[in-house]
Amino acid sequence: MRFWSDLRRILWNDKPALVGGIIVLIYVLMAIFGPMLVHISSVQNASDAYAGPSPQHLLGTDALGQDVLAQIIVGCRPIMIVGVVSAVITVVVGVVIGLVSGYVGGFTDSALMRVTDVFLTVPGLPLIIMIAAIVHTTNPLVLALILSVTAWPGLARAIRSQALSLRSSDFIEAARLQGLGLGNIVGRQLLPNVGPYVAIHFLLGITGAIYAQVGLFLLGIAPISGTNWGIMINLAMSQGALYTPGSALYLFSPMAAIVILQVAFVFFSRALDSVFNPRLRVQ
Amino acid sequence: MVQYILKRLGISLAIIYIVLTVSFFMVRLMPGNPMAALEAQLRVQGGMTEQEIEQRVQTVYGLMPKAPLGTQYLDYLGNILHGNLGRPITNPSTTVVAVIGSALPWTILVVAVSLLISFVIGVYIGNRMAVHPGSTFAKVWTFIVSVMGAVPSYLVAIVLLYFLTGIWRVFPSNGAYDVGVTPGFNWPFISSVAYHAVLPIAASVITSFGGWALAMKGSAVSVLGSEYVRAAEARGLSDRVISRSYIGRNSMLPMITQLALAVGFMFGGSVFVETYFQYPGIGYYMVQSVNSRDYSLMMGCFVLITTAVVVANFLVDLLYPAVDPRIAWPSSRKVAATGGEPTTETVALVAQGGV
Amino acid sequence: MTMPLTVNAPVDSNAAPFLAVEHLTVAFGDTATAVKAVDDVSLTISRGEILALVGESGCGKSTLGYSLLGIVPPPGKATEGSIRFKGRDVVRLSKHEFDTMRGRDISMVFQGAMNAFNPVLTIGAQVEHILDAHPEVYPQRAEGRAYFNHLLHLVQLQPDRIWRSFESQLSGGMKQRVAIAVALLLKPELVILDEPTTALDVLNQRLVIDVLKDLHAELGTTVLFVTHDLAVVAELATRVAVMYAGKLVETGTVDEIFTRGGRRHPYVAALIDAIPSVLKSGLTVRPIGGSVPSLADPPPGCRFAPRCRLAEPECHVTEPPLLGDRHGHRVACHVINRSLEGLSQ
Repeated sequence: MRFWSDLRRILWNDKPALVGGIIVLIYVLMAIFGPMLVHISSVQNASDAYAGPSPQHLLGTDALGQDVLAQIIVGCRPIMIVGVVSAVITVVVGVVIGLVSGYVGGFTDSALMRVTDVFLTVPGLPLIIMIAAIVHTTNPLVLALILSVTAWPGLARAIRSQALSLRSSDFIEAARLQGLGLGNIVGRQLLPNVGPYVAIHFLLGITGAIYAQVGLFLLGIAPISGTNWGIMINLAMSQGALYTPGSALYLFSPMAAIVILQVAFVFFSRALDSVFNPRLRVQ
Repeated sequence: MVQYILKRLGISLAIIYIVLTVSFFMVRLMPGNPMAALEAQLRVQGGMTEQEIEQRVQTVYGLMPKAPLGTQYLDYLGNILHGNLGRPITNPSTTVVAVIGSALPWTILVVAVSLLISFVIGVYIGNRMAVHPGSTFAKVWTFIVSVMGAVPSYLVAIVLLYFLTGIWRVFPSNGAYDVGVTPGFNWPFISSVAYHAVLPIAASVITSFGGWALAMKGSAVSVLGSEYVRAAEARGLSDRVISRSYIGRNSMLPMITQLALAVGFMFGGSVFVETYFQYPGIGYYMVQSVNSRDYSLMMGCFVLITTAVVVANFLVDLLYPAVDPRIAWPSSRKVAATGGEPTTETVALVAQGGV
Repeated sequence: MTMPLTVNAPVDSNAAPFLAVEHLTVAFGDTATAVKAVDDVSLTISRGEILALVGESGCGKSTLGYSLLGIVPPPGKATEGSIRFKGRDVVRLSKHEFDTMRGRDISMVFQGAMNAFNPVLTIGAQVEHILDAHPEVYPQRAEGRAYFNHLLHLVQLQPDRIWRSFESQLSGGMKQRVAIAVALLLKPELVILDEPTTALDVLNQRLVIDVLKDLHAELGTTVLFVTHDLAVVAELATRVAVMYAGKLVETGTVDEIFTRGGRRHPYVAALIDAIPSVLKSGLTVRPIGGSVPSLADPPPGCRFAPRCRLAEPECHVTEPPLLGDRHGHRVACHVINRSLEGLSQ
């Protein structure tokens, strides 16, 4: 397939993007298999608190003497699940609203676009914080839903403008003249053309959801239960990591895990953008 | 022109109205709605008659809990028109408006200054990247900017706190100014304010100038490739005139539209920055109110942050016709204000702004 | 199609050429994989004439026009040959020398004249930029403005209204005419018009052609006219140069090229056949089969050979030389040139 060969060639020429892709892959594998292979020991040993790196504890230990690396690995899955589910919801909502708005037009279009404008204007993070505070959920799916509340409007607008320009293009007109139904036109003709936007917004949706999600855990707005990177940082900070010299590894390990993943996503999505963007592809 | 301003004003007011309405029904109708929760809480505490409880709820929310929903809604809108957002649950002796009023200037200070600094740095770097593609400058900064754009602001805040207030005590870790100084137009106060604002501003700037640089680069690249720049060269205009009046002005247009999005993003981000630096702005109070279940204060903060963002958007809308004649003098031909298909850069900015 | 009855500007073939392009090659990219958009092209323009440079899109005709002004977009640059204009080799001018020459000696109306104006400045402000860049032409700004108003009258536009307008307030045809007036502002000796009628509807095409005819009659400016529209060529040009895939294949006067049964390159013959004729009944358009070969990998021999009806084995091997008769009518074709005696390079 053209897409895969282009992607391979661009990844090969753009080393940062290749590294980014590999890192994302490693994180995905870690989220899937990590909890099966690694367990956080239930033994709590205060005398072992804030131990430095050692063969038993590669990244040292936390305030309870538990292994930091194990927590990092186990904490990957909840973060990734919420990120991916939120991005899926974002993409589905954005594509449906964008396509319907652009294709149906008229009153439906202006009504949907007004709603989109409101969501585009209202600052997302405070809205998420408020909803999360009222709903107060521990269910990752509900959390993902809350995070995607403010993420879809950008995609909806991009898809709508694509749908608008495609609607007036000849091949859609031809499909309509042939008597093909709305579902057929949208599914067979429009969706393939908006694919690039969907793919890139999906990746950006994951990074956005991870950003907001970790933020909620840091602020203590999402309930603290289980283990994930946001909770780790929250606990480290509330246990006085700033003024406890030995806790640097415990504080910075989850932060590094997040930063590396976010940067990897950005570089990988850059490669995807080059695949889809013919202007860049020429070079 | 007048029509344009009225239309923008109408949209702004409509958005504020919608936000107010949604906030109201969220408080009233959500599962575990805060008003009922407060009633229940007061009942559990005991020592209050039903009437006293009802009165307390009314002072906090400014509404009669037993009244029909429609009446409550109208009362709520009426209260807001009179500048009454109720009283904080945790401190009923003051008003929500008073708390927010004291917090807003600090948030505006930090948001405005960091927006200005990151805009100037980002536009400068983005422009250099576009004008000299393939240079070492462009390569190095493309990398730095992509990495910095991906780092969450709260993590930068933690790193700054760790090194500059924890390990080396260079900067203060909380407050907007020293307790010892008298607020007013005097040097100790101003310098203390500036000193306390350095870290919050730094955290915002470090994480946001990259977005500006990428957006500016994309915009400048498309302007550099445009016909009118080539035509200006063919007319023998000097490089100075071309870069200022032809490239500069046109590539700044999309940046001004982005300003509107960025204001919202920065206000949102202030929640983290202010909380971590314990800087008494609206974001700080919003998180405080959430963690102490002070819903009336939380609503007030949310309504005010939204209003501030809508007002900022409106100001940008007013600014726009001054720089783009296509808005001020609309023609029969539809001209896209920014043009060009969205690139990752613009998409990334939009996506971040949407979070 | 209307045939010109007379050629209005007689060509003085004895005088030194006003502008001479000699063996010019313009390449894009580094030498190993360079795409030669213009490949060893030689032609001359005489003072006062309208030379039409004709060819399909992508044949290098616009690139040739850009190289006269030194504005070939990077990575393209003139790698071989010279362009002699007023005793100087344009290819070797410094950037500063180019700046003073551009607009004043040679000016250009771009293909996308629709987008030739800065959208955020009034036309007047942009004209003032030009006057400021060349103060030697009009020591008083007012003189320049008066001459611009005169030009706007000539192109049938209202000066005051245009001066205050932004480009978004003008229609396509108006913008095209303003662009032509702007190009003539500094009284240049040579104007390059790149596809001046292509983006316009039929009525505006008509108007622009009439305006160009009037202007040439009034000002006598030398014009290099880049187009793919042979019907316009027949009406406006005095001489024609035809390019195919980076190569010059034929040059001659309009009469020589359009006269029925004359000596003609098979590509040019095909182009003329492809002009729809309203005089003949029914569809007589004969499109040319195939498409222009890739400039990155041109075929050996004659570049038109793969599409040529007359092609012989030799055509696929040897490149045909551009041979001229005693009138200077030059054709690059093995088959056509074979039947004639006394041709020279």
